[in-house]
Amino acid sequence: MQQLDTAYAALADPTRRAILARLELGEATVGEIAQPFPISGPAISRHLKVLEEANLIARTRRGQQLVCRLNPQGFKSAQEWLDHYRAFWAGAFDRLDTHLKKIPEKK
Amino acid sequence: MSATTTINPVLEIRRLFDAPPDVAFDAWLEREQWQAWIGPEGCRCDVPLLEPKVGGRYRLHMHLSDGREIPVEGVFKVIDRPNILAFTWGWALSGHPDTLVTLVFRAKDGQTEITLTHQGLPTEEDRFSHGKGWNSTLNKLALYVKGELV
Repeated sequence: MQQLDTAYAALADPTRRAILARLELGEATVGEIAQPFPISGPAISRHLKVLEEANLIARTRRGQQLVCRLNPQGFKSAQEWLDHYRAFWAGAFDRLDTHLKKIPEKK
Repeated sequence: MSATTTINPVLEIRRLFDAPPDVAFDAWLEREQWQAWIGPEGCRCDVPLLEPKVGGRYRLHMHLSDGREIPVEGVFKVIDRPNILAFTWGWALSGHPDTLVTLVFRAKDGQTEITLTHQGLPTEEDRFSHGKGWNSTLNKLALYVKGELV
């Protein structure tokens, strides 16, 4: 569960969502990822660290460069949890609906 | 940010627009507004579809002067008004994979600086041609946000 908290916290930030959108195209160097954003190198590194700790991306060193890519496993567990949560609430609303129908109308 | 060696060609354009960020931002996310200016100069565009939400799709048709019609399709990935907008950009009839356009809006002395990056373009030639296309398109946006696009 803690992993999921970290994942959703990571996804709450638009810059990090934009970074993930970039990585959907394929792996990228830190320089490529940073390019659209008017923020410092250290700030980008912090975003990448948050995404990595949330298991959403993986970083590997290739020569002089850090290369980032999506971690499908991390996305899968976040998605599974979300599906479960959705199913739970759908079920809860159905039950609520049944319950409300049983209550006799007061006039 | 210091430049590092990049694997793929990335197009980056940074320009100033004479409007506040929310005005510049909304010009990209409302169907009628987009239709008014999107596309290079001399090229009329229809925007038959624009779903302004994350995961929403858009479709635009560029009408070239020689009568050809070029469809473009994509999906909105990030909408953070009025700071960041990201959407995929796909030439519907080509075999090219989807590419990604990221726009970052920054207020600057009553104006808005937009940084447009177009990533995932397969070749250096694509980067060059898309650079021409976006610069020409942004000329129209610059006039549009001032209410001067005819």
